[in-house]
Amino acid sequence: MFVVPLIGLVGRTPWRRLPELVTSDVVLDALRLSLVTSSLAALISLVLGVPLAWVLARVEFPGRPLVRAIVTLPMVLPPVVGGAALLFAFGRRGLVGGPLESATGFLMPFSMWGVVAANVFVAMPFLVVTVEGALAGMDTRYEHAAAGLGASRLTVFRRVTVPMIAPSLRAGVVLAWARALGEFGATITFAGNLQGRTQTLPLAVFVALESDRDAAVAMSLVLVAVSLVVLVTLRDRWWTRP
Amino acid sequence: MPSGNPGEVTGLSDLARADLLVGLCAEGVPCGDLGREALANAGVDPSIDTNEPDVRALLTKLGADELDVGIVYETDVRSAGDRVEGIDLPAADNVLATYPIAQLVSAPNPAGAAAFIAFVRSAEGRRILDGHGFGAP
Repeated sequence: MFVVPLIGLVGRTPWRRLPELVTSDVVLDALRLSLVTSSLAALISLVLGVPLAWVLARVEFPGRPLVRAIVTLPMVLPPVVGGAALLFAFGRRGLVGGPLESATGFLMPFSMWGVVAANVFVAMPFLVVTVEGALAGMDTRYEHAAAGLGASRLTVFRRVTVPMIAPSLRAGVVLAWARALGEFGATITFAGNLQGRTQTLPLAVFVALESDRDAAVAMSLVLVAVSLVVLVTLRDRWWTRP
Repeated sequence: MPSGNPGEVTGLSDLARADLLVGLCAEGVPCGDLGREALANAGVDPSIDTNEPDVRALLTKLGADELDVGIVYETDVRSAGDRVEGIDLPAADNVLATYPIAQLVSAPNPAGAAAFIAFVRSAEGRRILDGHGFGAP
């Protein structure tokens, strides 16, 4: 199930033309943009996602199941729907995008930030769910003990909570990053497709499938290789150790 | 263009304006190649903001008023109703897509196929096609 498609891809690879294909401007631009936007998305997901996960795991409030469902919605929603929703919200005719453009002149669609926004939208839930699970499952007596010994809430969070959930935190970041790297539907719907500005590797692969299949296969291989290198490195280092 | 023509587009040369959000279909997609051909005919170097994967995607963004101008088929402008409006290109720059009609050699129902082709080519068929923006060959 997982291996056969991979073998199919490798079998289709035009090995002789590969060096020339993977060093073309289109591929290098797309690779650079993919790495930059997915890393930014992982970082933003971390900054916004950890407080959100903490609130969902630790604070009792009415409507929490609903908020939890909304946060995980992008995981089940077709990304194209997410992209359309982002367009209705942050497009120049959108709820937020319109006022934002008239106030600052900043327009998210068709810019790199549109790609990042689409990535965060689909990727952040993976981090939130992972971290929330760890926070809900951890033994809170350590935090109480630290607080009882006079540590401030921030110190408790920094010195006790974060170290205890560190493996999940890292796993969440890696999952979010990986999901962002492969993002396609929301990106092309919301951010468009322009080499060097919004064309990430998955978009470049999709467009090349129509015109130059060898190039599409070569780019797919680059994407697989980058993902494998990062996942193998991080997983070995972070996920096997508690 | 989106209806109301917010970018005040008057012709192909406006696609070179950097202040407009310009969309085309991607290269390799028929509407993208034809659009680029028309731009080349007019000697315009477009300031592209997005290369959409297909004509429907481009039309959707135009209809949502998220792009100022794009090149699609005349038939698409008609099918999109009042959400978009089109401008006629000068005949010298315009490019046409031609659609062949043919009966398969091994058609299981040759009589039906012949009847359908005859209908498409009849005055009634011509009228329907005209109504959708398909010109006569």
